[in-house]
Amino acid sequence: MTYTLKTHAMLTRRGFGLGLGAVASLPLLGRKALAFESADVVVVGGGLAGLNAALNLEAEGYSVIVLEAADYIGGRTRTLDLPIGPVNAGGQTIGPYYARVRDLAHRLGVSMIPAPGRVATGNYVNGELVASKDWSGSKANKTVGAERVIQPGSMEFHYMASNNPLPDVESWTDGGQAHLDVSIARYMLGKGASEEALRLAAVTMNVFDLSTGSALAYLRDLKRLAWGMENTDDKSRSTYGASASDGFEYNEIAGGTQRLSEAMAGALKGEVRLNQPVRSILMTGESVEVQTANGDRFKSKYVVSAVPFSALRNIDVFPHFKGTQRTAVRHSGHGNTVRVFMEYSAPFWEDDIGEAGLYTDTAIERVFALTNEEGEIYGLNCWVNGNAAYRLDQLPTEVVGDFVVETLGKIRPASKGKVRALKVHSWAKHSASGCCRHVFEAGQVTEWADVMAKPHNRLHLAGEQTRSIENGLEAAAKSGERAAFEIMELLG
Amino acid sequence: MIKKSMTTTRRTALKTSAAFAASIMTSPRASAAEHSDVIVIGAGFAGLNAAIMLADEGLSVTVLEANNRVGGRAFTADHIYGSPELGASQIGPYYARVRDTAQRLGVELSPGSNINAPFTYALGDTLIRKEDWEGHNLNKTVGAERAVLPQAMQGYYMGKYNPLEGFDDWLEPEAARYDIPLAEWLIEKGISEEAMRLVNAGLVAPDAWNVSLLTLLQEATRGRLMSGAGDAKGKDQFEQYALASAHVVGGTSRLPEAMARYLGDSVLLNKIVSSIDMSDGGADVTCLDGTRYRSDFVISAIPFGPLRRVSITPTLEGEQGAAVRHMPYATNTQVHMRLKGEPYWEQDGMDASLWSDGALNIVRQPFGYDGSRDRLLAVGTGKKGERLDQLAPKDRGEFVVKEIERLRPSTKGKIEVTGVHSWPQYNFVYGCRHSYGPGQVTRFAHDMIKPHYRMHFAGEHTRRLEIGMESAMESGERAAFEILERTI
Repeated sequence: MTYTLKTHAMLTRRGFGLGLGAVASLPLLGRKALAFESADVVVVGGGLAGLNAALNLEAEGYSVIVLEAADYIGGRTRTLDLPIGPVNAGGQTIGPYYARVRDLAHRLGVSMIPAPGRVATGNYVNGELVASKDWSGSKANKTVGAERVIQPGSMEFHYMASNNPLPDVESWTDGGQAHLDVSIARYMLGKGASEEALRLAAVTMNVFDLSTGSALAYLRDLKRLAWGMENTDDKSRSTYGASASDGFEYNEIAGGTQRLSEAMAGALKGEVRLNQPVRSILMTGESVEVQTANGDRFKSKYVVSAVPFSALRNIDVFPHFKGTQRTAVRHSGHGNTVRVFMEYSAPFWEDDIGEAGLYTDTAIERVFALTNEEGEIYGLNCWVNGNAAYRLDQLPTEVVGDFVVETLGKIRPASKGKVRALKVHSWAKHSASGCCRHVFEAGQVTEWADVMAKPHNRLHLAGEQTRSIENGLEAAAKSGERAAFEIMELLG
Repeated sequence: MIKKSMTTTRRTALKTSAAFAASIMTSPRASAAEHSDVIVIGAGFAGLNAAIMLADEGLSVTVLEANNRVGGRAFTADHIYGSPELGASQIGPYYARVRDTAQRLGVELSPGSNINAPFTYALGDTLIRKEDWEGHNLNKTVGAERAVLPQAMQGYYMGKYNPLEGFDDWLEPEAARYDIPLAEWLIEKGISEEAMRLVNAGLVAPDAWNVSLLTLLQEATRGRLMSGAGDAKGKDQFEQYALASAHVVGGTSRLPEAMARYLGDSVLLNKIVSSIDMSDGGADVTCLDGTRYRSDFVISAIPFGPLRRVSITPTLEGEQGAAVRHMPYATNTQVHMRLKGEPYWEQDGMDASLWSDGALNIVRQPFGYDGSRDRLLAVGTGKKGERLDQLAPKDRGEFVVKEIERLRPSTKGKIEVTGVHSWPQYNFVYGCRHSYGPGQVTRFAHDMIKPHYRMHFAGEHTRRLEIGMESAMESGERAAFEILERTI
């Protein structure tokens, strides 16, 4: 690997500085005509995918400019600094097999901590507050047969992860698995799920709803996740409930995941340009011109889109995407997560069911306990995803916190007066990403998965929606690496 | 048909809402749901018209409105200087239902609606007078296109080649051949590359490749009625509509407000529906706050944007499910401004409104109904609007003012932002209007309005013959008739 900065990039930077100076004295000419910064590659999006693409390209000696629409680095690896400490609004858990993320953390000197242990979670279902140990015999439990012993929050896992029909992770885009590209509802009903089980699973699953989400895409995620747990006896934990206590090394980034993205940005030669939402990507002949909303222009040989399709579709791309890829960019589905972080003044859960976490079939869906390395609960986190998150987003943001606290007070009277909302974050409403993750709908894996990530002219696509076999943070990191490799091959 | 006297209906409604108030204060989930014959979701023109028709026939109706006001996309912004209309404003000459309702409820209408100063054109950084457009060297359009002003380009092609005649032709099977991207058809009609760029720069849809020609043809066919009227000849479509139309005195919102007053206590605000569960016995409608309402029938009179956030059991299936889930909605994001100092158009001697092929679509300089000219309105539609919406609301105004000042130096220091409004980001609406993608008229238009169990569909997206406000009224009327037939 070489680390030499190509000279023309240096010259360009200098040229840019001169341009700006000239503009100041010639306001009438407009600066657009003068400032034209260039690099080998422009990366759109300063999240994990874009940053990893940029790092890989720079490591091979190519010059890179990273444009980020938001006013912070990291995209969906966002960490919020709250009075209770830093909390992750997005990407969090580092699985045992997240090779790229772990390698990046080691190389950049970013420390990891063990993922905190899981905290017991009770249930509020069908109007009853029920401790997890009392669930199977509760009259609130309207599930049927073998379902009755499954906690509501694990219902999706019970149906989707056990007897996963995918032979391996790679085969999800094989034509042979197309019969699984049906709605999750249909898949679960086929497995004998009751209507009530479906209703309970809909709370936790991060798809729009079970009648539209693709079973195949979900089975793929779970197949990959199973890597980390094949040898454990615990077959009931929910998708994102992984923790170090299972005997596998699950980690988080100390101080929040965003610290990793910031370290990646810090390792780049140039600064990530913040507040630069891209307006157009114009590809003509031998080069690419990227223009941002404020009129700045950048020229490159190639461009990486490392933003979700929910953001890419707002950018004018010439030539236009074509055919299925155009449909995917324009119409792909996106999940939403609303998270409300709360502090508490007394451990109210000791006064009712003894469990700090709560699964509910109400509008607030789930409340998790936030724990530190010592296992102490330092805050609460209401986690609403899928269609329920879009519903909650309909309330003005300033009332969402109080709404969650009030609803919790109604269903869990012991919490009344003891909980206060600190911060509301909606990925669909309050992020440049416009979503928390990409979601395949039934039929779309078969239709789109093969073409979504294909290079379009000089534009290469990264981001978790272009994932192949990895999950979560690792999927983003890998996608950036892949896009970088594609371009390196072309640049020679 | 179920015949109940109006008084009974009102009394039921009154009793019902008193119970609701009590139920909110106690534990909402424990309370038994109140029953009405029909629950109407959404108190815009469509829902209110449906509710009035049903109530007049003696049915008990509960209208659940998610917002803290009625009117939906009819929204007079009394909180912004000059009380601009954020949505519906033009009452076309043939809007029979709207005009009749206004008359019956004693709401006054007055001629003309949203008339603006003519445009000056900004291509790149160059300002061009409309008189100079045809011969200007930056006018890169070709042949007959050259005489067509940029904002009128789409209308020019639609008017010249529109193959539809009757208002319902668009729903005929033969019309499926026009359910293609607007761009494809324009290319077939010989549009130049530059004219296509100009069309794209002003589109409400994301771009000419992502909107169905057929839905635009429907509008153009119905719109011919407007453009033929009065002084409208020779103007572009928007100007024609503005001149031929009427407006509600005091603001469009006054009309739905009067409709809601007529319905009395049966219109409930701040009721965000989260689920509709239908069984053989009836429909249960549950709100986000935990309150429940029960009825024999439900009318969804809200756009598909908010409807797709509602859990519906049994699930919507097939093309109807796809339509609710995927119907695209058009972008319209606005920055309202007040002008200070000397009129900038007198200073630079050019027409006051601005059409731009840059980051903004258009900046209108409206004429107040009192003759005042102290406002500006920047409208971002299509992708330009979506991009504007990516900026924080507080930054949007600053961005727009900077852009206007850059394009038109005579405005410098004279613009003060008075309000921003984004229909895609506006809660309970999520878009200024439905906007079929290519192929979607054929796929969705027939299936998506079919009753689903106890549920019926209204709203401008379910229009058949009409456009604008009148199409919302038309749809509410149709849904009401569907239910009246089932209650015979």
